[in-house]
Amino acid sequence: MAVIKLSSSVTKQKTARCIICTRQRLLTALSAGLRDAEGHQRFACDEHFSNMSTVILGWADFAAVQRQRWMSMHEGQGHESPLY
Amino acid sequence: MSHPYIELRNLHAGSLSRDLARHLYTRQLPGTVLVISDKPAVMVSAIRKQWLKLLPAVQRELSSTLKLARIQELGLAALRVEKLHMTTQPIQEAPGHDLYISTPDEVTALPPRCHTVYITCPVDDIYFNTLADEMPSNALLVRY
Repeated sequence: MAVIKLSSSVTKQKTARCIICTRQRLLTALSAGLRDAEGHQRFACDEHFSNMSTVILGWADFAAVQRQRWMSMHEGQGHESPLY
Repeated sequence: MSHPYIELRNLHAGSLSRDLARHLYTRQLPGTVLVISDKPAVMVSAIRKQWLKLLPAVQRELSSTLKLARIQELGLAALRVEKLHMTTQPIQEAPGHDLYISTPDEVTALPPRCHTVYITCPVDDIYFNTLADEMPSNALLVRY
């Protein structure tokens, strides 16, 4: 799997950190998932898809942290959260 | 001009619908999802079947965790999995759904607040680039 066309902020890196195992990986080994509290695209390793328990817990923990961060950044401003 | 994130996915093992459902699970964003398929009727059944398999998996994790923040997020995720409405009807005829499955020819415009598009059948480069240009820069376009 490969990310072939990305915004400049991502293509300059060529790598990104998996939100589940925190390893820095090539984008070709990562799947795009949620955005973070700042609206940046975040990724997880493709290989985690073989174990959905890991994926479910990993993204749940990530979303909890990002939701908390977003609320502290935008509290009372009426902005739409990037998360459900 | 800014583009959406574009991800090319290869299926090494497992079905397309299974991979798509699992990938979609990680996109818990507000708004709608568009799946472009040459066989929408088949695809909607396959995705729905795989999607609903996620619900017991989420509920299993929900019942075995004690962390409050994790419980809240898993509860939201379970609700979303349960309530996600899919349709093969055009957006004009069936507004209010969460996931639309259409053939390439049926897609005349993106659904409102569409942040995720999956292309599951062959399309030419002109079609692909036109679609990418119409998507917001914070969106994701996945091509199988």
